Amino acid sequence: MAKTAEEIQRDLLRPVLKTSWRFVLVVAGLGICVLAGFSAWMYQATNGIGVAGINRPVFWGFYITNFVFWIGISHAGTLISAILRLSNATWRRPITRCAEVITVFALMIGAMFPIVHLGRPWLAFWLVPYPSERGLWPNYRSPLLWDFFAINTYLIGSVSFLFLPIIPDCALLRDRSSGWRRRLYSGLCLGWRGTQKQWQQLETAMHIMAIVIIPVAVSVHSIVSWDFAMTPVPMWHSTIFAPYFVAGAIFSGIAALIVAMVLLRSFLHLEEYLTAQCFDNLGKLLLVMSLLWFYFVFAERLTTWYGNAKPEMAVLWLTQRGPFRQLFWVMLCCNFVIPFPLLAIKKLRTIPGTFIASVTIIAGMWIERYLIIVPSLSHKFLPYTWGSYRPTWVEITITSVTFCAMALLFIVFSKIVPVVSVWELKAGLPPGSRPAGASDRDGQLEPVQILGAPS
Amino acid sequence: MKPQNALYALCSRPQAEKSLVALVSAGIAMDNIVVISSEPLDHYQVRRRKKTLMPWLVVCGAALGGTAGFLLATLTQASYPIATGGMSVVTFWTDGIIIYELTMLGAILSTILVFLSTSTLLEWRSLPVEPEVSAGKVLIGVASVPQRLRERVAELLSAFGEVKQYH
Repeated sequence: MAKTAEEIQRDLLRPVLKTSWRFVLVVAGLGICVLAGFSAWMYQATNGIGVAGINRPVFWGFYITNFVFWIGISHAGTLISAILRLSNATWRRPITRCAEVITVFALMIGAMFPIVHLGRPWLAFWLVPYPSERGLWPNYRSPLLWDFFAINTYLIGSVSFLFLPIIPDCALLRDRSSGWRRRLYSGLCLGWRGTQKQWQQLETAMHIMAIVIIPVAVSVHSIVSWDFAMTPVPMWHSTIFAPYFVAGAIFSGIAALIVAMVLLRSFLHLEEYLTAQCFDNLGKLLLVMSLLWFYFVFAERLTTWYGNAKPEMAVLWLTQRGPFRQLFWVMLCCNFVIPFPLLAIKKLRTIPGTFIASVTIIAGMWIERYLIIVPSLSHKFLPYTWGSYRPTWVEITITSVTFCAMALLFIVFSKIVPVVSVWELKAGLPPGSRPAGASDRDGQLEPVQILGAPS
Repeated sequence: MKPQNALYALCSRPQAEKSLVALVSAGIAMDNIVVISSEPLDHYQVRRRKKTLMPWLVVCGAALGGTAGFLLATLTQASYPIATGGMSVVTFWTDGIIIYELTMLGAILSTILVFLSTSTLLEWRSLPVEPEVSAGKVLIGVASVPQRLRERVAELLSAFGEVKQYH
């Protein structure tokens, strides 16, 4: 990158310090959409869960599909960012914050859905383990309680992992702003000055967080998969579910990251930072995950087909030949048939190519979550309990609005904090890329001479 | 605590390296020399990595979290037993998940607490805020200059950049 440190700083702080009418317009539009979704939820809370399509035997429909989908998307960030940080991949610098932000917001949206699904959201605190006069104590055998612990741990970890590298950028903004903004950033940077001791502590803390957050991320989606796998329902009670879900989560997460990066690149004019190389590398990762996803789908279905158990086969044929067949083949096209050539052929692995592949993968992964949940619940072991599910406008509205909510949160965040880490990009510059007067390396003393100086 | 008797020079990165050597040669202890920059100065030899206790404190935090998870799961299962149809009331396979998550939570929280307490919160008011640092300059100096060395330090620093005095 030919940019100097000063230019990097100016380019990346510009979207934060200057507000255009387009920003206001987009925020207003998305805000109205989110309000519509909130109204739909309030309509459901007022009139009861009966206004949603979920009913016996399909108690889990769109809401739990959204829960699994968004928790999966949240794997993009922290996991990718942590792995790239630990491996010290230099191309990570422009993308890590974007990835970490996706994690936090996707997790917040995902964690909201069990509460939306409750019907009586004001009783959500019953999930919290505390002794109460009701004599109820949450069951530690229940995967739903494991979710509570796993998601909260992951949320706290992801927020911390996002916040730590933001601190020095907030100090930069403190020095570049005035009025309420200065007060805001003075608070956010927690007294950061930039001493070498502080830099060392920050790097150590981020290194530790990167190590800790990877197993947490894996555990979260494993536990989400056990919500299903611990239940004796056809095609759910399977040992493959935990790695299958984790692979699917990373797959959809990378796709979401690419989509977010392309949009940011275009709207915030970050073409010189989010380069074609970043997309090429992420495209290769996406290709590997696409192959892995296909492998898991094939392994799962082959084992079911070979076992030929009647209840399992009923569900399997439901998705191959029955009413869910169109969705199944659309999913396969979205997750494998379309992305594979786009990502495997170098000429097609361009920014538009990876963007198209990522959009289809996001759609495909949502359908995959739906196909895991609904067909199995509609055809459980006893045929007299079989039923069907059709989502209502309430569920469709809330589902659509989550995408707007994600966009809104992301845009508002990009207004408060630079979406590309300024100090990390500057730290990656070679010494020759400094502004005039600061790039002179003449007369530099040998490191040994300095470090060996008497103290 | 406001910065007292502090002398700093605002200079470029290469000058910061030189001034560091000059200060050390003048008898200022490395621990008293403060270098403030807007990014880690990996390419410049003004950093001195010190051993940190942070990883060990994080391990302690994780152990504390794990113990809390173990106690929460097992003691409460025993205190509020549910009907299990003759199967064990305290279930270690499932309790393991709670213990694991709380171990990780302990590690995460202790990382944050140790970081905040050792790097920012304690130095909130003891170090100067210099807007020029965010423009790419480096602030190097001595946080608390002994009276006998005051003139000498000021003279040394002035050779490398504009000297700033903080009281």
